[in-house]
Amino acid sequence: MGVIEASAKRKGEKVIMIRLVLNEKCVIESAEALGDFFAANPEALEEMLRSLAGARAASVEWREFLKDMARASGLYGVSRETLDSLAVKLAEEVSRVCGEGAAVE
Amino acid sequence: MPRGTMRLIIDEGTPFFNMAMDEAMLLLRGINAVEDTLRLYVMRPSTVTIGYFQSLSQSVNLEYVRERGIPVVRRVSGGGSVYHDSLGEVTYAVVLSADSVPRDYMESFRLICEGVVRAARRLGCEASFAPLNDVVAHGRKLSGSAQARRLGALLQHGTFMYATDVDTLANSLRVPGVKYGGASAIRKRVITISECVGRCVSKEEAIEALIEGFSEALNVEFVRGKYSPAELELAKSLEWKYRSREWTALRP
Repeated sequence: MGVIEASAKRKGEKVIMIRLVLNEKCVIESAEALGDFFAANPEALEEMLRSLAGARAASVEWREFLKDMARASGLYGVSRETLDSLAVKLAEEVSRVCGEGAAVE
Repeated sequence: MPRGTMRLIIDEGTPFFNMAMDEAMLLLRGINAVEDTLRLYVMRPSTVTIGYFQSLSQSVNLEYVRERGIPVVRRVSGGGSVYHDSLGEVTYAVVLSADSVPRDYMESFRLICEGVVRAARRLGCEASFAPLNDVVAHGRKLSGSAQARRLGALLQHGTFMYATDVDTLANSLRVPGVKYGGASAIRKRVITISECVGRCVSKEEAIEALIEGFSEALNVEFVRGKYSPAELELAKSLEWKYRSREWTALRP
């Protein structure tokens, strides 16, 4: 299917981008976070992103996922509002690429 | 009254060794195998470092640095891409127990960046902390810093640009948020100590100012020290990682 990218940044904060590699069924093959943000526990962040592999992109609650990822990894330099904005952009991208019915088997 | 003493190491070396030593000190500080330390070093040759989470191709002008033989190394810390000029920049690394810095991330940056602020002011440059992790003068970036935390220890390392070749810096880096204007836009956002004070500041002056600035900011007296055998051994093994293409291109 291809690659989906969404990023967010607010003034005075760091950039965060989520990149998803999807298969033809819009199932996540891999996910990574890119940017100049900080994380007290980068391994936890990477582990959470790895856990997305095998999930259908449209079935992920991005807002909850990003909130959990930030909490588990001690993400800093990026506010809650920026993560919410990123979640909306990700959901929009997934919907655009995978279609409205992507969440339905 | 200083609250105590702190080890000071002044060094220079390859970017691979420097990044390996910063990580070794962080890991060993976490298990109380080394003391709190300020390390001041020069990268030889001039180098670009990128943050742990950065995309290599999105944060560095790869064609430019390849043509000029400027090495690129991924850091263990987050943050953005940095140009370390061997003839115009001193890198500082502070390794502390995480207990001795504020839990709030911005306040921990503020505390340690205060050493850079005071150093710049000692040289006559009216600098100030700009959250989250910068020091600015005349509204332009004078120093950037990055942190990594492991096992209850904190590493903060950053730049002190006393006479950095800002054109090479601007051409080497790609900065998020600077979509238009490229190198000239980056050039306008950066200032060196020499430019700030209107005279050529030397490396020796920069180092002296940093020692005094950090001494005041952290309320410590520095004692010149050297690396422990454990630090040297761990840094030597970590150096392979920093030399590897796999690590640098971890996020292409």
